[in-house]
Amino acid sequence: MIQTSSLPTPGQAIELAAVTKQWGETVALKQIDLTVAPGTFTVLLGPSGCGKSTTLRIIAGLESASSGTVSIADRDVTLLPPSERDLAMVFQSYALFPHLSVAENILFGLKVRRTPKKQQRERLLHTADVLGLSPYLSRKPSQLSGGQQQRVALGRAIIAEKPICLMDEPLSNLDAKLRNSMRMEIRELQQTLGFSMVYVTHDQAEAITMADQVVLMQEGEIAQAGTPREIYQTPATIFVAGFIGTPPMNLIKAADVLQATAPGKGMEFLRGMHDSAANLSQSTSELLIGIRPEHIGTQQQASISAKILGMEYLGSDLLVTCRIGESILLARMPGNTEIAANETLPLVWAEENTAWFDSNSGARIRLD
Amino acid sequence: MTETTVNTVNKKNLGRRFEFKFDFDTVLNTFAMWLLAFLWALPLLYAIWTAFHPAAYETRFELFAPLTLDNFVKAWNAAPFARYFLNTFLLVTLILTSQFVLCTLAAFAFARFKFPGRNILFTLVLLQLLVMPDILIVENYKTIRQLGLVDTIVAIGLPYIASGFGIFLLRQTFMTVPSELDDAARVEGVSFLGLLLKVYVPLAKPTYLAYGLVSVSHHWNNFLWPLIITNSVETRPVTVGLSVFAAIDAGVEWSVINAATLMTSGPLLIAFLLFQRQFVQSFMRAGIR
Ligand SMILES: Nc1ncnc2c1ncn2[C@@H]1O[C@H](COP(=O)(O)OP(=O)(O)OP(=O)(O)O)[C@@H](O)[C@H]1O
Ligand SMILES: [Mg+2]
Repeated sequence: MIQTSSLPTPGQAIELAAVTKQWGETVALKQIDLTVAPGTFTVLLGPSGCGKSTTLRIIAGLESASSGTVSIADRDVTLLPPSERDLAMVFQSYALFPHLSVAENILFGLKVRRTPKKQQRERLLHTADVLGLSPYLSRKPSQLSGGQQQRVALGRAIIAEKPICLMDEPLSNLDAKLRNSMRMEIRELQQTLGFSMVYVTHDQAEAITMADQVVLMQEGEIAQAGTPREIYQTPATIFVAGFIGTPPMNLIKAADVLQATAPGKGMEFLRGMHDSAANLSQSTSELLIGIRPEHIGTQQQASISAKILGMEYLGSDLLVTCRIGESILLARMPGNTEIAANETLPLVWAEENTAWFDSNSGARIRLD
Repeated sequence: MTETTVNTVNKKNLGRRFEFKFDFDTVLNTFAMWLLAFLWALPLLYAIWTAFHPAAYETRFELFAPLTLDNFVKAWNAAPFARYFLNTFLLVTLILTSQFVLCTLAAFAFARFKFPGRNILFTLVLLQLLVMPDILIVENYKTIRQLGLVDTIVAIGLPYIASGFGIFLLRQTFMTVPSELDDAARVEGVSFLGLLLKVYVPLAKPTYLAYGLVSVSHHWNNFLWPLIITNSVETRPVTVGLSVFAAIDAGVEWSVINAATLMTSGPLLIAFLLFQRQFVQSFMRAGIR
């Protein structure tokens, strides 16, 4: 799809240390610590208003941090303007200059920096070629489709071959199919050119598929940062567990599980799932068990019985909504599982697939 | 503006009701409009009539009266109109360029910089819109005399260069420029001046055109202040020149005066006809009705 012959740009490391941002009373970021390794793809993920854009704009220098430091390649850039941070940025609305042609838009930065004309031309032709924009160079942005405009914005970011590229929801205005293909193109571009990428999105599919590092944010704080695998398999808080995955992880009250098991067998059952008796000796009402829908199965001899509330047949999968005490949970079973509606369903899950959370603090309870 | 809307509404009504009903309201409206338009255009029509016919037809209307350009030739030779035109041209150019430079810089500051006292300063600029320039004629004369500029072209333009209207209009336009464009340019390392010239000014082109036409026509037609501050052929703009010419001796024929009048307002009329569509559009876009 994308072939480039240009030399890889060595990416640079980005580091935020205790960055706080507030506007009057509004606190947008609380003591953010973030490290982006050189040449890696970091995705900032989170619900609306959690401070993703603010973080990105602070890295770019478009916003100043209220406190804390920003460093790029071990250089403190906290007080430097965007132009001296040596980075490129793609905006959600693309921010193309409507009065300039595609070529002029792509060349904007090179012209500002007075790059020699010959080099400008060469790079323009190369970039346009890479992005499939060659036929449109003389058009105005308003004469392009959304996907083409998006490529122009990408072109403007990559032509300068900066060591860092920042993107704020660059795909959110595209339709699902185009979004999928652009996702792959962007990832490929980043890997071939080798720059460091910080990418903002609220779409977890985008985050999981593209990222080397996912940074999940919640109300101005980093809830968890890690590889997509870590975030999915070992969520650090209730928030992460409930955000990642479609459908997300089930969170079941331990007390409900106790009641749903045969009398007297509850404690034993819970202990069977993990043997940290110390944790269990505290009140079970403060414990939540996290289990992914695909890890729940059914078996005749299972000790927990759940009431079936509904079923959704998806062909390959069967989604069962059921209830244990007050907790509602979703189970994803193979499509060929035969279950009669209105039946009580005996459930099983493997011990190693469970996560335990303290429902007061929201934190995960480490079991080792 | 209101006239055209009334007009279109009535046309729609006509189209709908034409078959069944004689619409009294529409007829009255249309009639009143034609009457007003005719009354408004009458002096111009009269000027055109007399200017292109021999003096004998000044007060007589005859459809096939002989056409002539003699009046224009006479008028052109009777007074230094070439010089007057040059003066007006210099004046208008001077005012327009200075206004563009000053208003652009001021409007940019008001639109995109946060500085203490910004709102108070902007209110002061807006207050300027409320003050009739004619009230200040005496004060302005004193100032110009102190500057030693009496009877120069610069003196005619100077009081108008810092235009509150221009600053207001451009500020409003600049504020509509999406902040992401601003951000994108800043990431690329554009200086503030570059940002203004490469992003804001090109995007505000329609406003510049509309404002330019208003400014040019206003200063082309301005009479009282130039009359007071100038007293020689070398500085007089056409408006003053025309009045001097029409007043020297009562013997000048109406047809010649009208030819001169047409001559002096001609460039403006042509410019308006050429730009009228963009002109109206930019004013609609600039949010002024
Ligand atoms: N210029 C500003 N002035 C005051 N508050 C602001 C400003 N910009 C952002 N905020 C606030 O900071 C918080 C974080 O905003 P931010 O734009 O970073 O959210 P986001 O994670 O990008 O959300 P979204 O996914 O909706 O874009 C929000 O509560 C927002 O209201
Ligand atoms: Mg955002």
